[in-house]
Parts: sequence; C-alpha cells; structure tokens
Amino acid sequence: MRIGGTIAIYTLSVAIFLVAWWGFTFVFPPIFLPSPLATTLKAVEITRTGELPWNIVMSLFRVLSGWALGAVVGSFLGVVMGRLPWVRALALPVLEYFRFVPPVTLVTLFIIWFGFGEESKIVLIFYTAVFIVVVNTMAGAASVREGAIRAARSLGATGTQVLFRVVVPETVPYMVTGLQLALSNAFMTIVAAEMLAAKSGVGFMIWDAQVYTKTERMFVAFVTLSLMGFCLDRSVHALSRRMFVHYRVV
Amino acid sequence: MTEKVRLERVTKIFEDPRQGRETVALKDVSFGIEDRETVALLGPSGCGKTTILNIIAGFILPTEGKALIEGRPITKPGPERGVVFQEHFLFHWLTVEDNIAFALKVRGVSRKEFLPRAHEFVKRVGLTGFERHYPDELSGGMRQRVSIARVLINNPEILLMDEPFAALDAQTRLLMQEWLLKLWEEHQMSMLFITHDVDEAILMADRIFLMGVQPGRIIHELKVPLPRPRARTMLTSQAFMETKAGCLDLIAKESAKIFEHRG
Repeated sequence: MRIGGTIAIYTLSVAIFLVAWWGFTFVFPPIFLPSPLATTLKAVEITRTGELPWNIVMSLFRVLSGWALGAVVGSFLGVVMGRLPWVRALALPVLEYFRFVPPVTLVTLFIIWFGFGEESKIVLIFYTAVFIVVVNTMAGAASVREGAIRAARSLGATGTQVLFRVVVPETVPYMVTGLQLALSNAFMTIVAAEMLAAKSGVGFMIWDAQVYTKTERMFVAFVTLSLMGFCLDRSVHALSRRMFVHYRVV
Repeated sequence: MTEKVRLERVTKIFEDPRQGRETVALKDVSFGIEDRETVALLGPSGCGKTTILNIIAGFILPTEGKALIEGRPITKPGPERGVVFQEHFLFHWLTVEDNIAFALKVRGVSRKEFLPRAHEFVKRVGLTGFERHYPDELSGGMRQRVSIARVLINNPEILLMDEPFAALDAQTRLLMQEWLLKLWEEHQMSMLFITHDVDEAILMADRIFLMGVQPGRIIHELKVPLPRPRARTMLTSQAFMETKAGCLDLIAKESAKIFEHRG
C-alpha cells in the first residue's frame, strides 16, 4: 500500500514534468529545447552506436572506484579519529579549512600530479568521498555508548576486541550515512571533472554537445545523469539496509 | 567466612578541569561483601552508589584507599565481576544467543562449543525460543534477563547490579525480583545490588548500607532479618515491615539534615 503510493506519486510527478517539458517545446525552437520524443530517439540512437553505454560505464567506473577507496580509507581514519581525542584535536582544524576547497577546483592540480589518465579522476573522487566518510564515521565513533564498551570490557574483551566487536558495529549507521552522502557528492564532482578534463563519461558528453550545439545529446545526458544518480543512491540505500538490518541504520 | 570484595577507606574525587572544581563523590567508604552475601546500597541520586560499583567493576580507580577482589587489588574490569547495568547495554547487532556467548567468543571459544553453553543459559533465564531474536525485539524485562545471562555464563565471583530493574514498570519489576531471588537460590553468588527502592533493597539483600550525600558516604548499616529462600510474600510480613519502618526512619532523619543544611 505505502510502496504502491510512493510509486504512484513518483510516476505522477515525472508525468507532470514531461508534459510541461513537451508544452514548452511549442514555444522554443528544437535547438534550444528538444522535445521528450526527440530526446528519446537520440538516446536510442546513441545507445545503438554504443556511445552512451560506454560513457555511462566510464563515469560509473570512476565514481565507484574512487568512492570505494574513499570508503575504506575514510572509515578507518574516522574510527581512529573518533576514538583518539588527540588525533581528532589535531586533525579537525585542517578538515575545517579544507572543507571550503570544492573538490572540482583540484581537477587541474590532480592532472599535474597524476596525469591526464584515469588516476587523476579517481583520486579526485577519492578526495571527495574520503572527507565526508571521515567526518561522519568520526562523529559515530566518538559517540559510541560508553556503557557498551564497559560491558564488553567487563566480559573480558581486550582493547582490540572492543574496537572490532563494539566500536565498529556501533559506528555502522554513521558510516552508512557518510557513504551515501559521499556517493551523491562523488557523482556531482565526476560530472564536473569530466566536463573539464576527460574524453569520455557523461560529463564529457555534455561538454562535447555544448561545443557543437548538439542540444539533443545534452538532454540525453541530463536524463541519463538523473537516472544514474537515482538508481545508485537507491541501490546503496537498499543494500545497506539489507546488509545491516540490526545495526540501526536509518 | 571469606570476603569476596573489600573496600578500605575509599575516597573518590572527580575533578572538573574546565571549572577547576572538585567533587567528592565518595568519602572514606569501607565495607566487605562475604561469599554468597547480597549487599544493597540504598540512597538518593548523587550519593555515590554507582561510583562504588564502578570502582569494584574496575571502570574507575579510587583516588584514595584500596579496593580488593578476593584480596587482590582491582585495577581493571574482569569477567569474574559481572556487571548488570540499568540500561541493559546489550549488543543490538547480535542475537540473544550471541549476546550471551560474547564472553566465550572473546576468549576464542569456537561456535560449536559456545552455542550449547549459550543455549543452556538462555534456558536458565527462561528465554527458550528467543535464541535468534535481537535485543530490539524483546521487552525490557527480557533484555535484562539476557544481560544477566551474559554475565552468568562467566560464572562470576560476584554480580554487580546497578539499579537493574529501575527502568521497568512496577509489575515487571516485581516479577524480575522474584525471578532473581530464584536464580540466586540456584547459583548462590555474592551480589552488590544498587537501588533507590527501599522494598527492593530489603527483599534482595542480607545487609543494607544506607548512603548519604555531600559527600557520598555510608551512614548506616542494617541487617535484614528475613530468612532464605526469599519470596514475594515476605513483602507483607511483620519482619519486613519493621525493617522498612526502621529504614524509612533513618532516611527521613538524613533527609531532614540535608533539608536544614540547604536552608
């Protein structure tokens, strides 16, 4: 009933949007605003040629590899920082400063450091993800219930056992939140990076289309982006809820 | 008789470095708990009863004085002192059987070996059928029974109970008290029982230490004249009533002092 309702609302919302889009195509010429139908036909065409799937795969590859690296390193650093107040005290000010440097601005620097290949893009996504995961995991690790730690210690657990059997499980919900936020941020960053410095990916498609005023392709890219982001976000959400049923993941 | 636990002139001072203030949580506390004896610490909040438990549990160290378990100084927590908290602090990502087996798991006992033992304790605390349930799926009383089973599996020298039933509703609390008395008959362990409920203290304990505040200290020791095995029906017995009357008298006198003192 509730799921059915949700699907109905989503469908209705998209339908209204499509109708509005279609309506505006009578006002503006196709070079400004291609119709939903023209966009769909273009999508089918460049799917057949393999161009669209290839760009999707490239963007996904960059996002997921950088994000996964950021997740592993970020969770580890976050737990360490959350449990060791002096490490946290030393690291927090630096985190606070770097927060205001948007990852996209580092594209050029990373190209100088890591070259024009995939490394620079993956490092950029890693950088984007690691911050968010660290901040969230740290908050979680710092707020682990002292009573749970005491209970484990008085049951005979050593320091390492307390870390892996109590602190990490108690931190899981915060990690998951961090991972989800990091994913959506990684997505925004990769598109911008691909527009600036890549020869493939959905972001590149948009840039390429703009240079040659191929508006239909641009619209295909927009729709693709929204669908990719939506699907990724929902999958991570569903997956984490399934994997951590009893960890009180929100 | 052998003493399980001994506190010798224990003083605990908490410092608040930000405000530069010191709080004397405990002042000069000395007592022992005999083998198989239940001692209740009875007093208002802020009297330091949980501080005493934390010192015996090894969570904190006394500022002055000595705390001993079977003659050895207490320096850190250990499985021979089972702690049951008011908030159960179960591991909510583990099932009932895995919670109960936690102490065996950290000792490296294999799943094949610890499962039968865990199930034995599931049975002892009357939770058969709930082995695979998670703490979030249990009632308050059931959770507290899991946290008691979790420490009993270690066969502890002493049970340290920090207001274990205070968060439960009145009916459940009464059932849990009865249940714990029965459990005590089976295991006959030493117990330190913290409570602010006079009835509970008398029903559970052999000796009651009344505590006062500012600074936290023991102001009176009472022997409970009720025989073992204890039962709920004793709550209305003559001996119970007399003990309670004496207890309330002492509490009233102490409260009056504080009242006057604070103006």
